[in-house]
Amino acid sequence: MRCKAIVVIVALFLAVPAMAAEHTVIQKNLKFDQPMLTIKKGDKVFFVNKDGVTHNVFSATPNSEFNLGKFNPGSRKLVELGEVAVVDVECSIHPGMNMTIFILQNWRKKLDKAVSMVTE
Amino acid sequence: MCATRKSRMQARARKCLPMMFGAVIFLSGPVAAQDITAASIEAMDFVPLSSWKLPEPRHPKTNPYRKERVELGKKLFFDPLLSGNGKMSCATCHNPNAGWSDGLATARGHEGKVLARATPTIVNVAYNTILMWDGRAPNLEKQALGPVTNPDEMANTRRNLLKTLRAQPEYVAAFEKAYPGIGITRSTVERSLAMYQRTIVSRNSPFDRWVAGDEKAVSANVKRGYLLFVNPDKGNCAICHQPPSFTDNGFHNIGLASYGSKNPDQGRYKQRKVPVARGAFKTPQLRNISETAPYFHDGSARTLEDVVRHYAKGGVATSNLSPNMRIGKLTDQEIADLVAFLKSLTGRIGGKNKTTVASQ
Repeated sequence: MRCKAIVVIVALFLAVPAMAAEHTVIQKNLKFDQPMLTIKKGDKVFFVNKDGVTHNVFSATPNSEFNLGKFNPGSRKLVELGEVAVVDVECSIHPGMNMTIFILQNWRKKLDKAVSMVTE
Repeated sequence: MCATRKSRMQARARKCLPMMFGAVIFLSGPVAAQDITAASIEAMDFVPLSSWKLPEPRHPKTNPYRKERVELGKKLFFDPLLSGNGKMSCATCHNPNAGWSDGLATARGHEGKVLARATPTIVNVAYNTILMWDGRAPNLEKQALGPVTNPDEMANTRRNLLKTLRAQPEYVAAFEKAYPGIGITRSTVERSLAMYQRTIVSRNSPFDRWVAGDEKAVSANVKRGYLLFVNPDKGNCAICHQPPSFTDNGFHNIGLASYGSKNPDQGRYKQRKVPVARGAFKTPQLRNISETAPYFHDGSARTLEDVVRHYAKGGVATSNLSPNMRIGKLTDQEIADLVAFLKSLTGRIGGKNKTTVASQ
């Protein structure tokens, strides 16, 4: 039974076509809703401000710099991150609000590798 | 099943009734101050009173509370031996008789040199997650020797500081007692100063007593002032001076006249090269603020009324005004109520504050 379930999940997983995925990071209570986000190169990351406060999401990570400018309550902005990198993201107004985005070339390969390392 | 749920809902509605009634009174016209209570505020869509309940400060895992270390930190804090010329202590600028600040517009350092920025109070510094007007220090341990070794401030060197302390048998004994087997090192000096500062806590002001449930702890003006403070269409102060410690630990350009000068202090921009950080300074906490005049990082506001009037007019040099500085129209009475509220934030320093995040 359990085995069957795993097979179904794996099958679903493989059925997803290899295309750019979309991720959403929410700003709420002066925090990002996730401290870390792992994405595949080419994926889209949307930032959404669900706070009553204006934020300013930016990154100073070399080769991955971006600045979304004044980020008003209720708005949604897109970041396209081109390079494989570990990108530190911060609100320049509220620096306690920070997160890291891991951009991998092919995260499924890396995941398989990680799983095999664990099982060995 | 259904019947019980219905009766439960009815009971809940009955409980809510007085609160709803309070909200109706509020919305239907000017509120008589006696109607403003913790319960009537809960029913509004503002920051609830309960969110300002300030917990005991926490000592970090890496520097857990020890009585001997706090006593040692206190001795160091008040000792002019820490400065290069033996004339200044931490308390010269962070003077307990001046609200743990210095009463000056901007600080005076080594040999009386006038410095660029005002001395921030250390009251409730334990709750800050980032320190200094420009946020260049991440915690009190890392900040502790900054002013001691700054040539414009206490003008000492680390090497000379340790040498001086090690030459004092009294300090050698006190450090040995507080840090057995470690003694006088840069780290133990920093940890002692940081730990002592975390005990300078104000959390029993009239406002705090109101938060705790005493409706008579504050006057009607203070209650009206609180509503203006949290109302986004009025003072909108709580957008940055957030609960529970009255700061968002953030950085804002509030449009002070000095930002319009020829070479203005760029503040946070030195640390973060982002346009919004130009001329932005840290949001200070507000407890015991009635004791720390003059105000702002440049000391340009003489009184709390001047502070509120600065915001009420929307700032002076507004070329890079914080996007969060949005203030509604305030009448003279409303300005007076806001000032009354700010004055209700002053409490006695002290109390137990020995909580450590995790014991070692």
